[in-house]
Amino acid sequence: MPNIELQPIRVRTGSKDTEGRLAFLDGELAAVLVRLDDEMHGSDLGKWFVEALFGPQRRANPFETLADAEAWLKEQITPFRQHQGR
Amino acid sequence: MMTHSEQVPIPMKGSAIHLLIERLSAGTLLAEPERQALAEASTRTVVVARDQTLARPGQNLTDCHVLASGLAAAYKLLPDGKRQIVGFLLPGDFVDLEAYVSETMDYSVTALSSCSLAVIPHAVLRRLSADHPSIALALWRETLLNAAIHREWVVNVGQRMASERLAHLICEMSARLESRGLARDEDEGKSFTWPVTQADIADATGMSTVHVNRTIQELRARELIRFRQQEVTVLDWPGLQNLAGFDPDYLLPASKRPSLHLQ
Repeated sequence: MPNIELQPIRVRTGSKDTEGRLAFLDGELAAVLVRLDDEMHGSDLGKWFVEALFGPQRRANPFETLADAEAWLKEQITPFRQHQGR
Repeated sequence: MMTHSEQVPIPMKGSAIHLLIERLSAGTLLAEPERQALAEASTRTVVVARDQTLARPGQNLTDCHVLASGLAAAYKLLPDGKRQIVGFLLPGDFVDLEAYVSETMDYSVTALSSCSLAVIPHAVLRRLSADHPSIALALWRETLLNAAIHREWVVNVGQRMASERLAHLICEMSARLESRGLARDEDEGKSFTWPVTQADIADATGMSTVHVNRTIQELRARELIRFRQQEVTVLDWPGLQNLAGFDPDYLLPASKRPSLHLQ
């Protein structure tokens, strides 16, 4: 199983959504997650959004918790690793 | 599939066919006999509810449908369920002209609001085209216009930044609706009804709903638009047009572009 490490960071999104995490998979930066804190997001308020994803480009709906985002990221990395022949 | 929930005679002025004739004529290109022939082409009207599918890929059609009221979206569905909206269909637009020639659809159409549509049998359109070469030419021009809009959408999703992308889409909606007399002049600017969700806009612009949200906020903050309860007001047309790099020439009927004069 890949190891995930989350590092708190502020992200300049041009909105009130600034609370973020750098997500490292086995020491490599794999994604930037941002918490949706602007009330304009309605029912997505407080969820974690995959603001940027490195490697295979997939889009995802915001996640309820960081743990959900982590689980999704682990799923994303597997086919990429296989493709890379690791 | 489309249900025939209502059948009403088609009034001339302001009807789907009237709007279609005005668009196909581009003012003067269809003479009175052609306009009259087209006015009699529709056999009936159908009314569909919001979210109803008007056409789907592989469907064999024997009729064309012209939107009379409401808003519809043409889209392609991907195997994983993702959806790309490839065009918004407005009153006076054919919903499925492609199937007139190819007899089958390669995309889907859904009603974004309740819609009414005028039905023109392919057999009638074939007879009109044979009897009136200028009608055949007008249908050809219509496909050229649709192709020009599609090219602009490819540029939109491929090259423009989020704010430019949304600005361009709003410019296009405003210009197309205004040319059909479907936009309103208000004190603060041109207004129109756009019954779309943010998920629809996301699927039309290739953005996430989160980015659509932020981009609408940005255009509001820059005082370019107001967007409330599916009503859009363009507060600063030159500003919006400038941000989008919107050049409305691609929306002109092909016949009005000198290089494409076919007659």
